[in-house]
Amino acid sequence: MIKLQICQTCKTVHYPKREICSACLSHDLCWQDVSGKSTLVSSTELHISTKLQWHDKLPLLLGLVKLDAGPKILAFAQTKLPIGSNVMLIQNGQTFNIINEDNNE
Amino acid sequence: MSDPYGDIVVTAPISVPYVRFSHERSNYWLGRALGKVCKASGLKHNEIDGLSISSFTLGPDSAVSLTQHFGMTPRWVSQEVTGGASGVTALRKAARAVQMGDADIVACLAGDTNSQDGFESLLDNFSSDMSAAVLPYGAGGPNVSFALITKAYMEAYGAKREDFGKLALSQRKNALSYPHALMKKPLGIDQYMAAREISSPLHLFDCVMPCAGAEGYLVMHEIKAKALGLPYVKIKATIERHNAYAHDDVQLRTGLAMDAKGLWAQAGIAPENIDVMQTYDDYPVISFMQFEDLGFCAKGEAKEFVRQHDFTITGNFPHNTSGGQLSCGQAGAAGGFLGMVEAIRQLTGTALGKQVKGAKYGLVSGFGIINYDKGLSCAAAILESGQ
Ligand SMILES: [Zn+2]
Repeated sequence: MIKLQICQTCKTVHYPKREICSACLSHDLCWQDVSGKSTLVSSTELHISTKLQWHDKLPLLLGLVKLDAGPKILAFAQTKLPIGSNVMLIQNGQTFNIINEDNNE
Repeated sequence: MSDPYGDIVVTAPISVPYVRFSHERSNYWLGRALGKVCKASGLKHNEIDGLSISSFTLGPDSAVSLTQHFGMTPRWVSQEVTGGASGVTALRKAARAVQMGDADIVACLAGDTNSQDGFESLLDNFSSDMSAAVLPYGAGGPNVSFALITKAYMEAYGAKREDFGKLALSQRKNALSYPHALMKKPLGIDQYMAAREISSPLHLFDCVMPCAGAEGYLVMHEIKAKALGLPYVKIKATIERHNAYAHDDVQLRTGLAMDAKGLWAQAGIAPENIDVMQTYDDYPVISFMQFEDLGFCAKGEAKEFVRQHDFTITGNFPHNTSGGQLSCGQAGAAGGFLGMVEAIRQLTGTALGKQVKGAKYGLVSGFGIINYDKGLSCAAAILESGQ
């Protein structure tokens, strides 16, 4: 499970952080558990960074996933996967990681 | 065919030559642009009663503080926040202000500085969503977001790196005759393909080089332009849209697709009537989307469109005729004005580089403000030579 904001009025799940629900304009958003089940919708291998702390970790494999629950999240990936792959997202502080892939579907 | 903007014209296209880095503030670049539109038009700066400003690096100052810096007392002021779409959105507002009598002459200016260390902080503070949801993954700025868009676009529609390369190469060819382009050397396909990877599938020549500079133009009544002896263009039609197709998984289309039909209807012409086109080319894939979404070809078919056309100034589809941002450099928000300024020049027969012969109709489209996963703003204008 990952923690994301859910609108208490219409149940829309939000990411990145919002103050107001874009679906119903409610301000009643709570951080709650959401399933990390998602689909990979794009990916990239980042080769340059202006940030020194990343220089020895390049290239970085990144994936954009669409959660079954709705929002899209950029995350670190471990392996190159085809677009459309079913993946699982886990949370690691302020960032997300794509873990076990499942291409059976 | 309607005539939505009546006798409102656009004139005095100017550029403040770009430099890679500048220690000057944004105020310097915008002020130089103001000086240039004055010089181009013969107007004194206090005769200009409307001021429109587009800049990323102006803060904490604003368009209003600039009136004091520049010794102006305008009765209309506006600040554009649409970045790459600001060349068109500034025009839309300025044209209505003059048409409705809220101002007589509006100077639309865009400019930014680029200090050695300032660019990184601009990237890191691009937007709250970028800072929260992209920056923690290794890089600030738009490269990662556009890499994801480009990858998904290539997968969906079969466009190849060579197709993007064709646009980059023809823009470079165009830039070789444009005196202010920062890129001065020809670019070959082998060099394009072999360039270092930035964020796959983006390589070096898919990305713009940040720089400092400014662009500008004036909006006024036709009778005023004639009295000043200025060549001008007329505004046939414009559109603007923000946060379109919010639920698309990845941005494969822009909001231009929502409004293109109305644009052509308002102008009373068709895509084949366009003699010169300027797209916003922060990355080639975005130009591909503009061709599609504005109706030059069907969705996903820009690759064939690109393969079948010659985008150089003397070709059958003159496009980004001053070289675009990919070859001129991206002077911040001035990148959103580059195409507009070049279109005005081409349509008034005053190109600084090679002239498109007999250009009557021009299309300028803009795209701006990448926020996390997509560019939020887009706008387009069809212009007609006043000659
Ligand atoms: Zn809601």
